[in-house]
Amino acid sequence: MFATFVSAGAPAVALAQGPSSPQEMYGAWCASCHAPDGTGQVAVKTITVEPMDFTDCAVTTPEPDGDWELVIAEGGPVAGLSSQMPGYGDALTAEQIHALVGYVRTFCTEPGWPIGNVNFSRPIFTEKAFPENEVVVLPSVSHGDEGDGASVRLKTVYERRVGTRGHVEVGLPLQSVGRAGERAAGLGDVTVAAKYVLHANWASTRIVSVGFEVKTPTGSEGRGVGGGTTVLEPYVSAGFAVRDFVVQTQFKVEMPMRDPGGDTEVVYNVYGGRDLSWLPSTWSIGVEINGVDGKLAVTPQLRKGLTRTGALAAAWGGYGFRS
Amino acid sequence: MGVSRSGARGSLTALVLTVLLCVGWLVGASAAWAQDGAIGGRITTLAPASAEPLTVTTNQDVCGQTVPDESVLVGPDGGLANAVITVVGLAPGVEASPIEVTNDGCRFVPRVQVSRPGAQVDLTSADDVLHTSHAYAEDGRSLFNVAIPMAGLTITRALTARGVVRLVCDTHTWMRGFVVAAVDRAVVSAADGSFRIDGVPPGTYELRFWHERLEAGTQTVTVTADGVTDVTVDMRES
Repeated sequence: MFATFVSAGAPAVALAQGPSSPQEMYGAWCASCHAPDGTGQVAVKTITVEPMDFTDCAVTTPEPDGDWELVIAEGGPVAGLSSQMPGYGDALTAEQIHALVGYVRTFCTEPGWPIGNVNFSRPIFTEKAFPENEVVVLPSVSHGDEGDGASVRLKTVYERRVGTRGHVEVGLPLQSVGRAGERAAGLGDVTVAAKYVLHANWASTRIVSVGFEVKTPTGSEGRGVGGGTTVLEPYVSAGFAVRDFVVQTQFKVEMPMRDPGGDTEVVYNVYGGRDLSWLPSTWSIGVEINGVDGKLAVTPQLRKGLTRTGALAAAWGGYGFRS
Repeated sequence: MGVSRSGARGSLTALVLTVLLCVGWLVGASAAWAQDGAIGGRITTLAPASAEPLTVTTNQDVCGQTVPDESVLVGPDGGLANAVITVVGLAPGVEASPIEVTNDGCRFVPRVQVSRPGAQVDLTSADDVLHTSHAYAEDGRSLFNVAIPMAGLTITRALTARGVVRLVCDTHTWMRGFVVAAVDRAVVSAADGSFRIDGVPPGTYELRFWHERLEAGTQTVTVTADGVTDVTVDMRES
């Protein structure tokens, strides 16, 4: 994600003529459609679609540089945008394209928006610090033990950004649980949560967020698909990048309202990994350490972008707890 | 190491047969070429030539105040340029590949060309201004869209569709170009409307005609050995 973009079709010889500064390049090659001020409102419109408004920070900030560079190099369709956005990858160098992305970012003048470069790949368990607009589907399978059968869980999380740094989400778990020779299935405990970015540096190497999740007792405790009590889960999430290596952490306290003093658990997750190339669709390889009080699990995992921008991705991993 | 008499005789026989086969192939090939005919003629129209120039709305410093409307180019005696004549069922000839399309004076030059599906097209520019070469297939699919932000660049793309591929420039809306990616033999009519297709084996063929603004029905022609089948087609507004 952070490696310098290299276009397969970049010209072998850098072109000496033409504009050189990012502002000049934007004025010569982008402003005819996107407008000199980035709003997309031009006096003589030559395209039939409405260009992005680069002054809208909600548009300009969420995606990492790699996504923008891919669109500039290969054109709009690579990210599901209009084909009227042409590809510049055969005409401009990687450095020129990178500089253009940096210039486009300057149209967002409202402070506080975290840049998509700290939108690190989602680990399996560690809650990301970056606020998202997305739907996450989390399937999981657990082996049975001590007389209980295997359980299958499919949790769907709907996430929306709120304001500059906020994020709210709702999670709906569907479960099938084997218990004492019988199997129960149904809706588990629905979760609602909010998250807020406390800090994201402009160099896009670190981000820290706080969040609060409430697990509601919508599932049936008697059938084994619910906890039977409301659980409050405050947490802190953070992400750091050192070159291509990323560390993400989450520290969470789970407080069941039925017996907050007795059943409170401390959960901590630490992920370390890296993307294997600059491409948004690249493989990511990493490992998570997941702890619940005295128990510890190690979860090696792989992640792969299923689309060229990585907007759709899948991850695989496995773990086992050790006391 | 000796050579037996029977072995030498066998080698001589093989040599004679090879020479005879080569001579036979050469005679046959030349005979076949001599038997091929040709289709020639003119494309005409009574439709008026597009006379009014197109107003340039942007980059007048490079493009000028107007550019000529080249959509219907008619010669003094009614000859129609830039019509494409296709001989259905006749294999394509040896055409230049890649073909070249130049953004020149904020026009695609040449405006109409013939190529084949899968062939390469070199997109270049003589204008020191941002052009895009955006190709659409007949069904409206966008095939590619490349930016050519300065003069002197050449960018190569493949024609990944068959039929009429339309080229537009998304920054200069009046620009139009066409590449007919034909699976059959096809040619473009010259400025006076004339065309000629050589190397056509004798037989009966269907001719199809395409023009960006005008239409004509198909024609069936018979080509004879060493003959030139004359065709005159009038294309009309639909």
